[in-house]
Amino acid sequence: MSAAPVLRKAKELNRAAALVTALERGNCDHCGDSLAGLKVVRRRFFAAPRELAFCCLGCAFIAEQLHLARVSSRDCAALEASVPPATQLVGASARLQVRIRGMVCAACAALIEHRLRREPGVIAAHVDFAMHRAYVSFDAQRSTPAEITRAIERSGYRAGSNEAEEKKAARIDLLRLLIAWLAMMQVMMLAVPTYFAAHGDIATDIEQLLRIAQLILTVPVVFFSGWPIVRAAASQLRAGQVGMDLPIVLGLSAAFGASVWAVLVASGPVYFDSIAMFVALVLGARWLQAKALRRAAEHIDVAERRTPTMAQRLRSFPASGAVDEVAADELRPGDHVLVPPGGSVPADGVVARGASTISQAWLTGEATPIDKNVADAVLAGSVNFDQPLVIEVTRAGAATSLAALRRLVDDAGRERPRVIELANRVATVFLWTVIVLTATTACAWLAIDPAQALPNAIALLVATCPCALSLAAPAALAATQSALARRGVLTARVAALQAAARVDVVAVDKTGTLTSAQPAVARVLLLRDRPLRRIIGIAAGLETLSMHPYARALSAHAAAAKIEPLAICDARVAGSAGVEAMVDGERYRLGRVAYARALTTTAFSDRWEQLPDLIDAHGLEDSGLAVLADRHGPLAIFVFAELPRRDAAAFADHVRATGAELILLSGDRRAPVERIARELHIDQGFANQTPESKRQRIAELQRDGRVVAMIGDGMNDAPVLAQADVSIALAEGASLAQARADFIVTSPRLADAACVFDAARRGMRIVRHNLAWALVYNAIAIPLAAFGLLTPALAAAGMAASSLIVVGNALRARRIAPREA
Amino acid sequence: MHCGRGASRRARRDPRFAAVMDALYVLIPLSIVLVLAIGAVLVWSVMSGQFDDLDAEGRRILDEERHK
Repeated sequence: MSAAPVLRKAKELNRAAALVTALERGNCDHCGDSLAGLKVVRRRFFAAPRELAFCCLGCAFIAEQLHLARVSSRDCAALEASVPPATQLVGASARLQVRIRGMVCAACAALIEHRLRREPGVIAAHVDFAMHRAYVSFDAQRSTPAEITRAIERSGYRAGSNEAEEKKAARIDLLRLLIAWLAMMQVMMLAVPTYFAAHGDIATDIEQLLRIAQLILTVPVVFFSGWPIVRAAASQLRAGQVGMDLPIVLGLSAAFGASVWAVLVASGPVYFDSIAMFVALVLGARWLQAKALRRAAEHIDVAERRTPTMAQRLRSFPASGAVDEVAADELRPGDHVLVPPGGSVPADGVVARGASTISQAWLTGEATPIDKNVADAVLAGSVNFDQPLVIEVTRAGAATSLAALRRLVDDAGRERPRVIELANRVATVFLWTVIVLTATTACAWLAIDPAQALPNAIALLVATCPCALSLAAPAALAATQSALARRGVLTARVAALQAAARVDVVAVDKTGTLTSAQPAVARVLLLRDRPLRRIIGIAAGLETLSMHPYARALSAHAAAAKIEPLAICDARVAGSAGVEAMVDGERYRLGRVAYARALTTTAFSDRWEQLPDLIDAHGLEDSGLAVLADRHGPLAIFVFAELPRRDAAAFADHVRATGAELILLSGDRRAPVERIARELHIDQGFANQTPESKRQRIAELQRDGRVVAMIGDGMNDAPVLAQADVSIALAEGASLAQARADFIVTSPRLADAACVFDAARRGMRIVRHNLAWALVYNAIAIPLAAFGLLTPALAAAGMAASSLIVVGNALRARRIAPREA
Repeated sequence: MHCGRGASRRARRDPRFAAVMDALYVLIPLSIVLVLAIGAVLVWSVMSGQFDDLDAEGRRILDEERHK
């Protein structure tokens, strides 16, 4: 940690303390500006002696952070580390998520993880190389965020984000790369003549001059450009681990030492060109790698950026329109907030006033704005487009769907897929093997031809590429996650991708999964000779009064057929039994059979007698019905049913195309289940299932060696989802927070759930390609180098190329079939 | 540098060859100085932030109205 920021923080801290007396003079307690004429922000911090006044929320926020830091840490050095990006208390254990800077490859991540797990009080630690983040859960009694960040810094990396410093680090990284390439080209130019000249063709002093020039140009390559590699290897050694930087540094230092010696004594071969090329290529590969991983990670990270931090709270809605600017975290359920057009919604809630269109693209990946009217639910992070909205807060802060989503995504990487664990173990063994092989090669060549010993040992160290081995899986899986995220599918457990690639039975729930939870008008049976459009017009007119789900279905049906609801008067709503109203001077009732029948005069009551037979004849006993009647008897029967989602057929086809069997597990009665199964060509439909019998059925399939995926709504199906090898929950908006599954489909399209299997298969195939490639490459390169058939320069090119091929291949997993419109 | 195998023997007998070789004593150090100068320009351009956001220029055409 450099001294300057610590000193600056300390100075700020003192200032905050000194300014405690500033209130009397009417100045801001943080920046010291006059408060005259400003809307003063008053805060009382935890364990603070008195209330403080600030000129703006920004000052209040900074002062609070400083205050908390002062309360929780004893010294200034801890202060810098103790302002982590996110800590969260969960019972006695706390979770910390912190950015890590200075990691150069996947081995660094493993190293930090290893160090963190040995820290006292740390319960679990996971370091994500692609996202440059550490996720640590620790016992709040035995450790603090400051302790943990210090442990990270002790292992040679930097914790916490500091934008200015990060920017500078990024610039220096780029500079290292550019300097290495510039020097490499020049060194090559100076080295080439010595390759092509016959012995004695170049005067010795010219040759010496060329070598000195090469040395001068190679020094910045080794000590500036290559420095991160040296540092990483050193910290790996200190931690008692062998990382993939170690063989690189061994090779580099052997080559550099021998070359410098050769220049000093003016005899012997120099390898400056190999060194420069190696460093340039390794840095180039890593730079591209970092760029690629960042791109793969950006979709996973997208929800992070959408949180509004401020909210406009209405002081006393609906009495007045006065607005307080408050921090979004301070909102409580029941508060009313104003969301201006173009603003984002600060908390989950319900529209209390206004109508507008909003975009929930952060959640669903769906760019089309959705209409929101009074009583519609809106989610934090959504963007309001047209009109100002007043929203009554239902969930705020950490309880919002957005926060829940972020936790889900944060936790996703906690459990590492077996394939990554395996690759890492192989890489460690591999590194030792390489070091032993190098020693053997050097010894053998010393006996055969001492002049060849050094170049061959260097070639062997440089040619082997454990990077390809340990990068193969994580890069491909990150790319797969990113591809899914773009389709609105969140990966809540990365480890599940491995199982998802092998799924051969897909079990789906019916209500809310294959069908939309809202009923729809399935059929209209006309009982008397009236035009259908008029009947629907009357029914829709009557139902304008009712909020019953059937009423909504009827209105939607009329709207879809472009039928205007007819004007009604003298209307009465009889609870859930039905509605009565006058249309064009005629009285109508719409609702349950008994309710509608009561309107009919006794003279026409025989018209009702045939109704039960009619219902039987059409096989409708199990369906939801509403009857429209006037004084002369029944007019029409409206049959309501759950309709399959519009893309249910596409989903079923998609699943079948992956070669998996599709089965339907439903708690519903036999008739509707069979109808849906028939409509979607589903092989097996099981009706009347309880959650327990669904679970057993899945367990049975698993006993037969099948890999089962379950798709449900994520709440009612919890035990079933837990039993399945892969669980996929369809969570629309509000239900997101409760959803528990490996994958969560946030888009309204069911077909997106099916792409989990495709993407996982593709991702795992790429992982296998990568591992196979890394193994084949090393199997060829090692013997070639050991037997002296590979010059150090060629070895450097080979190693860098194999890293690049692995990363490039992994990025293919990002590509995913576009949505069908 | 004409040090190719075939031409070199004849070239070395040429009295001008010695003058060319002598020039190398100046030219090689000069090329190093030149490289260092290029390196310095590189350091300046990177550290002044010219390469911070390589995508911005490509994107700018799309939101010209907002950032005029």
